[in-house]
Amino acid sequence: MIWSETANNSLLVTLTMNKQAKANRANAKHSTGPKSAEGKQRASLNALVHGLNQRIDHLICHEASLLKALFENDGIATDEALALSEAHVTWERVRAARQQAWQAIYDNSEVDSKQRGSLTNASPELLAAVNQQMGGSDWQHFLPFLFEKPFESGREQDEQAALRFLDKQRRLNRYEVKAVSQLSKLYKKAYQ
Amino acid sequence: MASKKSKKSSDQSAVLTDNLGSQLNVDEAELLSKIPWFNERYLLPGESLSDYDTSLQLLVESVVVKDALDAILVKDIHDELREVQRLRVLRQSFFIRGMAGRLSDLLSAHFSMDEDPRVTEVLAAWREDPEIGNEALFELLDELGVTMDEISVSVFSRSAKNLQLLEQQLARHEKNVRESLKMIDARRNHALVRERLAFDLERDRQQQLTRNSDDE
Repeated sequence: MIWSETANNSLLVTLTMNKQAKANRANAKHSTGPKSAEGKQRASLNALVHGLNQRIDHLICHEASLLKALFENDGIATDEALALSEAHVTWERVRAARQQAWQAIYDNSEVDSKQRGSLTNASPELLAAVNQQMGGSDWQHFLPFLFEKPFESGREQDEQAALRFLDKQRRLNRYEVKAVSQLSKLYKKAYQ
Repeated sequence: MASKKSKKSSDQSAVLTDNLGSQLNVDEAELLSKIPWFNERYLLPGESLSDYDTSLQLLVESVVVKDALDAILVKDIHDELREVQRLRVLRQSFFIRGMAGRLSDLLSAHFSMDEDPRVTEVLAAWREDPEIGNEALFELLDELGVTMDEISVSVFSRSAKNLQLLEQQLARHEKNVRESLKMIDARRNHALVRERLAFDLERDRQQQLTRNSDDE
């Protein structure tokens, strides 16, 4: 009895899946996906967020092979040199991803530049007051894009943009922690 | 380990040759010049390329880079320190923006920018002299019964989540710097031990040779 119920259920699930698959295929025919080669190429990378989960292949990754050669020249055994070079390359990939996150603040299309405000929109008196508080105007060279228009709204969006940026950075931490701790262990082992 | 020679790599555009050329031998310089990320300066709009090179050069000199692997670790440290610097500025900017926003809320809620002559005077005084302007601002805040300290506290509590995330990131990068320094130390200690062993072996060999010649 139990067996037959299970069989019935699985049959039902299979039928539903087939029905769903058919519906998906039918819907896909209405899709207006990318047509040009360039568009298809771009869309092929949609699922790729940062590529940090990808394994480093020494045959493809030229820089890893070069690093390995440097470690081998330093008297490190081949397997250790391989692991060290991989960890270095992974760390560097994380750094590149962090740089992209910074760059994204500048290219951020989610926050309208008019609403974001800038130093040029800030009143001279407010700038002067901040300069005085900061002991100079050096701070103006950094992050002017995050400056809020004085006496105008838009602060919430800036806060959200900053939060999103910091969250992106936080999500990269686990890859960096893994690479750096691995590197530390490998250096200790290889150069003990 | 490869011996040190004072020759420069041919690639003049690379960070390596700009900053480390004299410290490395030709083979190592050649290898490093082929590693794309080693020659990448991580700059953002508004950041100066010459500042980047100057700070890297200063670090190279203070750490005394001896070979290519040292150079890679020093560049890692440099880039991590720049990240720390950026995040500290970001922390500052959170505070400044928060203060500016809170002040603007308070002033615009209680004083009419167009009609109240005192606000116009404060702004005019600010334009003339920021110090007088600040005093005038404090007077306006006194009138509202608010102190700058109270505003600071409210700004900190409002940005608590951002600040907490930011502190975590700062700690992460500072730790990376410490780890990289440890890696450099590990290599140097290892090199010292190797040199010491080589020296001891050579001394034993010489002593053995002397003993043999004495026996004869």
